[in-house]
Amino acid sequence: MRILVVEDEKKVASFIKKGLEEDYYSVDVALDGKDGSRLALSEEYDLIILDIMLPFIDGISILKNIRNEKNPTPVLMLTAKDNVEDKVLGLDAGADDYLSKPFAFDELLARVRALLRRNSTEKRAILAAGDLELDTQTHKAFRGGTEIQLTPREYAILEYLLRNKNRVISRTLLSEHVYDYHFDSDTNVIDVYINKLRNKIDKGFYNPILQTVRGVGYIIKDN
Amino acid sequence: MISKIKKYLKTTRFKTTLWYSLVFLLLEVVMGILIYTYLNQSMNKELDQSLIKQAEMIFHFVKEGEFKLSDFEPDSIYSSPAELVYDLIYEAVAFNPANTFVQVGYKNKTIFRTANLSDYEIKAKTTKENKTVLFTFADSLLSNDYIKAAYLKKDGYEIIVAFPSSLINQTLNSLINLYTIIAPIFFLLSLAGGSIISFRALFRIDKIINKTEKITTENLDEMIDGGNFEDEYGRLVKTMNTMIKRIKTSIEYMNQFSISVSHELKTPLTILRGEIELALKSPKTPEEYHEILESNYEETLRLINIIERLFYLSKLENSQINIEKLPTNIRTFLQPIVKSFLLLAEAKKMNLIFDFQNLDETIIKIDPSLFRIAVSNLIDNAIKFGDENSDVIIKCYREPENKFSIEFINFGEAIPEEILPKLFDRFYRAEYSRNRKMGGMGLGLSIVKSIIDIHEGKINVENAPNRAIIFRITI
Repeated sequence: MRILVVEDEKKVASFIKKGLEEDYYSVDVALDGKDGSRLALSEEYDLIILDIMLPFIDGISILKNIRNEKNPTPVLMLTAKDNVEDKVLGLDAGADDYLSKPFAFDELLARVRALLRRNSTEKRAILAAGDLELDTQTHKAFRGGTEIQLTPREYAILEYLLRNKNRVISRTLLSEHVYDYHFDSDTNVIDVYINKLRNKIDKGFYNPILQTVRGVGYIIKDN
Repeated sequence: MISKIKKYLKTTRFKTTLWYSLVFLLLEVVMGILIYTYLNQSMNKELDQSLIKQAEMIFHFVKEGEFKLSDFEPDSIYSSPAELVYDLIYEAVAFNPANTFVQVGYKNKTIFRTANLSDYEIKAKTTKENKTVLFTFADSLLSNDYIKAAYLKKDGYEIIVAFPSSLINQTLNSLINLYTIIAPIFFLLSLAGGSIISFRALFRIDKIINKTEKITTENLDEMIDGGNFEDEYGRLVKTMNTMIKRIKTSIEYMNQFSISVSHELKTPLTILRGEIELALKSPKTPEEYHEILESNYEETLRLINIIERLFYLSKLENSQINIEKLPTNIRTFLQPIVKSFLLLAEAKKMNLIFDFQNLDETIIKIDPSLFRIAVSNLIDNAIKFGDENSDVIIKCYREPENKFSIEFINFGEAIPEEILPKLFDRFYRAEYSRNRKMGGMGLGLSIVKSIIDIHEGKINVENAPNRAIIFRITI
């Protein structure tokens, strides 16, 4: 899952990035409103964490721009102010949630997870397909009750495919959502990770969960 | 009920009424005593005069009938001299025989007594000839009260006219009785009247009290009615309304202050909390821990710095810092400060230009330690927010009316016009400084403004052509 953090205070942006990366998210950081607006409109993100007070373009304006472009990416607003008006302003501009500074990091992570499953019918923190389960909170994967050890990259790919269950995901789309902006995304690398992942989750099982759609990409089906 | 009465007894309304009525009562008593004394004196005087007059009249008439008396022979008309005297004086003098005692003596022999004396002999103590003398005596046979008498001894006659003082006493007694009845009634009436008057007078006080009780920190916009009256109440209301306004201003100030303080503190606290939580979440390498601790230390210093600046600012604004204005040579004062910033300017490849315009001997009256803070802040800002490879100019020049200006000019992105007037406003700072990446600038500028205010000077800021931004102090 790829997340954009727009926050002008370098250190705040930095620890949010680090913390999210520890949870297997790939994170891009924008330190001002201009950068944030550009990235939000040009790149594919699964979630945007947006500070309200930013240099050049404020968070509310960025949010309005995104929503005017019919971009439905969930947005979590960060605000240093704690008054109702600001929260109302943010939510009405199209934010999905807000968090007041200083916040607990665990709460930030929980809200990120909640926002990521907003469009899913599965409201638990567990993603599943057939007898494969992925706990997004503990980052543990199980196939038929047996725990599978995953690397962060494998976890990220599996999470994205599970969140987009029954949809064919192209290599490009997959690499966009699994790597951050600075990664030179070579789609061949995706194939390598897919193979490793397939070995871990499908090897020895009659029904392969992760399937290749030749010439298009990959799919996880719920059967 | 009892507590209500107790409460009422403590009210100004009750006290005023009570005092007013007591004064009224006292006046009543004093007046009563005056009337009593006057009446007593004048009635006694009148009685004395009428006794003297009667005695003289009786003498006059008796004297006229002297020839009959001197050789009195009982005849068919008068069987005794007394009858003759009675006739003589009764015809001439109209008196009340029931109350007036008359005794006439002739040649040491009493020849006539009024019937009410019967056999009683009034004895006059003095024996002065040809003069009417007044005396008083008491005898329970004649009257319960003392008796006033006039005595005239002339030509062998001894005339005594007496009258009991009971009539006077009766009149005076009924006066006292009247007073004892009327005084309490008047007292009660004055209580009631006073109560009504003071109620009306103090009704507006009650209104003011009720209104004031309802005013809390939540509704300081409300004013007490009645400030348009020109009397004492109007003045009281006006004074209280001004006080409410002052309270409102300082509460707003305090609210704004605490909002700005908490806002200012939030960023470092967010960083501290986030980094520490992250560090505790999963094991890190020693290098990572070191980095986190270093950052935490930095934020702690930032917090201390913020708190110190806020404290300093509030001290400044409460004028707790004693200002000590000294005549200062502006050149020798400014030069070392400018020099101390050379390294900082060099780091951004900036030129620090000190343009003094031949004002070498200019002396201004300033508090050097405070003014140094203001100047340092402005130079620091000019360097911090100026473009790299640009100039920072500190320019001094004379103004009319013996005034003096120092300009701090740097080159960089213009400050939006709508923000310029608010730049020194401490409460505006937070948003703006963050928007412009000028963290810490705002608070510094409000300190600068406070210092310039204390010097009764002016500070302003403007965007000039060629990306120049000018901060100008005029004192």
